[in-house]
Amino acid sequence: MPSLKDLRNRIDSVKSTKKITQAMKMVAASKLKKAQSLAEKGRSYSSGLESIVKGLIKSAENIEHPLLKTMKFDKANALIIVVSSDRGLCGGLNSNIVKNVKKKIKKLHNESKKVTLICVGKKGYDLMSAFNEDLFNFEIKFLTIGEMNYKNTENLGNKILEGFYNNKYQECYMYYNYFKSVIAQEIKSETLIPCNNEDEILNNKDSVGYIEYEPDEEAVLSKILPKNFIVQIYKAILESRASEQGARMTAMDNATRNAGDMIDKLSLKYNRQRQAIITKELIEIISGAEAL
Amino acid sequence: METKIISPENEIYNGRADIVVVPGDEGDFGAMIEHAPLITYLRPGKLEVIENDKSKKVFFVDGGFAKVSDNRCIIMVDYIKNIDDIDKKANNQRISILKGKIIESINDIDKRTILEEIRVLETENDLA
Repeated sequence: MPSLKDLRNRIDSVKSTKKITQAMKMVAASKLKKAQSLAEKGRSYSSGLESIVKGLIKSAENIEHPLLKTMKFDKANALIIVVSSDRGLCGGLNSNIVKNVKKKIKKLHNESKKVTLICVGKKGYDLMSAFNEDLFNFEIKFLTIGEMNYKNTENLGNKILEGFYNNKYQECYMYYNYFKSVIAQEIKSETLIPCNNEDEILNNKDSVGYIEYEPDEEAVLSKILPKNFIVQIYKAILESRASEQGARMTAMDNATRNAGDMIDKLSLKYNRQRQAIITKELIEIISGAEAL
Repeated sequence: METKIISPENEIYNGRADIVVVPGDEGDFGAMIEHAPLITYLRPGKLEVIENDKSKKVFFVDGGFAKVSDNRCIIMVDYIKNIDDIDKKANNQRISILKGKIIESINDIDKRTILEEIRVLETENDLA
């Protein structure tokens, strides 16, 4: 049985943990607001661009472009962009994404494709490099998500696109957490390149009627594809950031509640033990007096 | 017509406009109600939004895309600035700093981004 002093120490330490988790929850809540509004603003841009791209790919089926290649490669090189958070303590956010990426890597390896990883977010890099450091053979291994703005994303995107124009890579996938609501984040995987994967075209039956393209479809397509690639990465970063804050808020809320429960239990134990000691002392005194 | 000007980080304009004068790649065009569906990319230039009460908003845009369909005009830009906010003096200072940076940079991509920024600032100055 722990002594009274031990119990008191434990209660104090749980109390201070509770204070920390409560503070972290508050911080996450205030950051969430900003991240959420950014993510929602970004959505209208990325979805607008995406809808143009989809319509364009459909109406211009015969156009050739490095990002649109439809021919099958025997040994394609695939690039996976993993968007995670920089810090932990946000529930299963990062480990879930890493789990999915590992599955994908296994699948690609089984198809005898070479895989290269790029991480946006330090935590994802920590987890993935522990899994297999050799996969990080791009010039950039990871970028911290906190420092990403549109300009940085553009630089990263252009560097990646260079690899595609030089035919170093043929496929590009991206994994990120989509911000559904504060309590729900959903892991999304997207095929960024080639942009014309089959199900996308099949799903796109609702395309509008005749649209004029100026100067012509090919010119617009060759401008919009790289842009769309960058904007999709940027969207993933914004979504991920909002998800991180949402997940952290929920995780910290749970932790605070758990700490509260624990304090209650420990206080009960502490009081019982104190009472037991008092009773014991009383019994000793009384039995001593009776013996006289 | 319903008009929206959006950048990846912000929504710059959302409202009803009579005419939107868009700097299309092959020349300016005015998008009004009942305009034929059109998708084009923009060249760097002036974007004018003329509202119902004839007040006018003028922006400088450095490329982007415009989509006109169903009496809606969506303009997607990366770089946009209110024309009144352009500060020629500051721009010139920045240009001279950047020109110094070009000589130092070794990386091709870095060089390209710097040249790109200089080009944007110079067109900005021309239009202001």
